[in-house]
Amino acid sequence: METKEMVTTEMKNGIVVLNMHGDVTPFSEKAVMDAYEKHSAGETQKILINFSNAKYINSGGIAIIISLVSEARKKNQKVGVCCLTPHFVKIFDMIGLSDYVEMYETDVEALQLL
Amino acid sequence: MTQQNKTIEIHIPSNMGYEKIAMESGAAVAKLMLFSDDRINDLKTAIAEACMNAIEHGNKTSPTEKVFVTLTVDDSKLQIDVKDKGKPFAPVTDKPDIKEKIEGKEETRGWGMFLIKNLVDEVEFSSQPEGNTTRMIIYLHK
Repeated sequence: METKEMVTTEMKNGIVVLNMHGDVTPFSEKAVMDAYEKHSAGETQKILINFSNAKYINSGGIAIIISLVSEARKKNQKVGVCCLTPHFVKIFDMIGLSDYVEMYETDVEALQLL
Repeated sequence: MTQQNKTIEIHIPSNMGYEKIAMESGAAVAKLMLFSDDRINDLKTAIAEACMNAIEHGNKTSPTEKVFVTLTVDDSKLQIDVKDKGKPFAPVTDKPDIKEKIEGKEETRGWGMFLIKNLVDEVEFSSQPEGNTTRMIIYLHK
């Protein structure tokens, strides 16, 4: 499979935003976790995972999000997710992941409320 | 579209990523059958997960083995069989414990069969000497 940019990172309102691109699958793991580790050091308290540019998420991709949430909790960081499709909001609810992250419909809402 | 046991067969390589071919094919057939968008999204995830299990746990990503996906269209239902050529394996069927995974006590993967069970109307997993089969059914009027 072709490898493209899988995650981009930016800082907004003091929140580290991880923008997911394209496919969120086990192939994304290194890129996502490296981006998280690189940009979440120091005083970072809030992480937002933005799925607005994600085209496909499978269970391996969900596992990466669980790993990230697990690491963030060790650092007492709060994790939010935004811009999931209704289908993946249902999946996050189904597996119980929505109990561990703040869920927002839009990035604007997330950046205001996280 | 008049259904009446139309069958579509797809063979995909045992490489991660190719499950999307089967997933999109299943979605196209379900759309022709006039399933709702919600049900089509459910089906897409279920097919992708079944194919990933077949690729990874069944065929062990062998370059010489294919995953065989058969879509059988009936008046009231769509049946999807996903077959591999691997040795028997036992997919996790109980609900994985998210708390254990978040706390790092369990590996974070292992959601495939749980998702399939919760997204289609019927699912059956079977192992034969010649390989493993995941059979999934969704009904038009459920």
